[in-house]
Amino acid sequence: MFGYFCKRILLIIPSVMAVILLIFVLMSSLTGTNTARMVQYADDPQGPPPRLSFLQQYGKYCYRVFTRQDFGINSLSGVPLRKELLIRTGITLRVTAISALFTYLLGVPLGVFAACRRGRWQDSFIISLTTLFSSIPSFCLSLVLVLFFAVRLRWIHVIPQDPVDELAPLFALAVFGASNVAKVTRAGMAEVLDKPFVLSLTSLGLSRRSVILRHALKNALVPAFSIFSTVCAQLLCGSIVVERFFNIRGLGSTMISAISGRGTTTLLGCAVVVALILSVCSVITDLLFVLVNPSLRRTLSFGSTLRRRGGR
Amino acid sequence: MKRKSRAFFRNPVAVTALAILVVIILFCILYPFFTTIDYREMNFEDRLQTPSLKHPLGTDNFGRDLMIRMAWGGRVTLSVAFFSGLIAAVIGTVIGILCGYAGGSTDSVIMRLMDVLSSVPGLLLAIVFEYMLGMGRGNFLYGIAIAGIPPFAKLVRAAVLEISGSAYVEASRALGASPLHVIREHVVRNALPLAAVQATTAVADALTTCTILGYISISIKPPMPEWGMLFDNGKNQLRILPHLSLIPAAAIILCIVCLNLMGNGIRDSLSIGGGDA
Repeated sequence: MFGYFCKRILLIIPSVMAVILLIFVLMSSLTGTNTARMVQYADDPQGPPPRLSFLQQYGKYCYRVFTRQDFGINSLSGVPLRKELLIRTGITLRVTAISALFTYLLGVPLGVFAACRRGRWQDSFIISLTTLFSSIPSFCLSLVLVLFFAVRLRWIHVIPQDPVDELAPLFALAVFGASNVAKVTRAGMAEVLDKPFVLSLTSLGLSRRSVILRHALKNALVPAFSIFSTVCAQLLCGSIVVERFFNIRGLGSTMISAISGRGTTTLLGCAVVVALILSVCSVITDLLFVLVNPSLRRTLSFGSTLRRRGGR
Repeated sequence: MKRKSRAFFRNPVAVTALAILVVIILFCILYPFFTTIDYREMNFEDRLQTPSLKHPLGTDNFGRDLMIRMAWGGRVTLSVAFFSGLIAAVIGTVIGILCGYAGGSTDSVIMRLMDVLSSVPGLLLAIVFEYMLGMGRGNFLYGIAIAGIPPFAKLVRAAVLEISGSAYVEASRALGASPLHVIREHVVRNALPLAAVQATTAVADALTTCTILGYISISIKPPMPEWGMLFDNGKNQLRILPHLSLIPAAAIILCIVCLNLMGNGIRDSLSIGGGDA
């Protein structure tokens, strides 16, 4: 299993490279102009040495990103991007990670509760709630939150100042993900509760609570964790918007200022960071998957033989 | 097919959602013909007004009528959403059918490409397109459309694989049906309802992305409104006139909710009326 995850972590590099290639191809084919100066580096501010082909440029960029974490320079300020990206990514990552935690802390109990009350009004209430909240873009929810808690109740500031104020953007992000998680958890739990082993555990005299929390929940979590990387992608995209709404200076604001200032290098750097974060998230998804699903663990430790058999 | 559509129309929630959507679309198309106010017309004496008879939804900080701007914004937002959803649906369905039917190396190459594409968030792709093709011309539409292709392709491919393994397709092949006939008569007909469900999701996603781009002010050129842009505009008057951004927000949410409910309705009608597609 350890080997599997080493392989999986190493696979991040080619997958990020593929995304970089995709963006390079898009950027050069869409503009149709000479893209010899697509990326500006600190050591050649006048553009790369003449006659670098597309692939050479791509290779140079990938090499610099993966060996020296050199994303080029910010074409507006002339400062190397590395430090700026590091700080901004830290801020965005913190927001995303905490809201991902909120997402699961909110979504899983709701889903489990709905599944346990299947067919009753609590169930249909939660279903309609999740349908509604999964349709609300995070900036609209931010508006409602700010109007209610900052303008009407005056509990928080519109521009974050106290620690309490930071809850609003986190909540605005988490609600969207949580409704998706709740939906998936409910479906998974409902399926598990119909399984014969639940019936036999109940007939053995276990209380409903321990059947659900000890035995059924573990199985129901599998689908909930399988959408972890999707949730992370949504949260990351949402954070671009929520950052703007709450004036948080994270990756999103860097991206927006890069767009309005025509900073191709900066935009590319942001895109690479996003791609990197998302591939790490997909590795975490796999890890969570193995944690909640013991049968997968066994498959992985005898990986080679079983996979060969499964392939047939 | 008929039974399925009847099942759809017997679902009150789905029909209501469809009706609301139709009303919103009709409003956006027709309202500009019934008023003399122009969406660019600034009138500084009338700025920041609350709703009145002359301005049914009030005016913004330049004294522009919000009602007409909502209608024009809806034209932009909804058409971007529908067309990018449509493009994604058509291209994705074709790719899915080709992959599922061709199999082999064509299939695996295209599917790896789809994997790469789906690992990039649609918002990012839309930003790259808008940035590279020039700002303010609505080029993000292609970005949204391309980002919408992979789920269609995967869904349709899975459906095709399932269908082409079934006995009746084998039977029709044994009777000498050409591949084209099989695709047209069996594969497309079975995959289409699934694609329709996915299409409502794709349009809703496109609508979200479109309004987000408007909100971070990288969609179309400013005098032309867009719902996300109107929302952003109104945000500065949050304390005095919250309705300036609440109304665009409500319109966005309403459209997405209705699209999702419609999708649910179609999915339910598939399982009710199943079998005779």
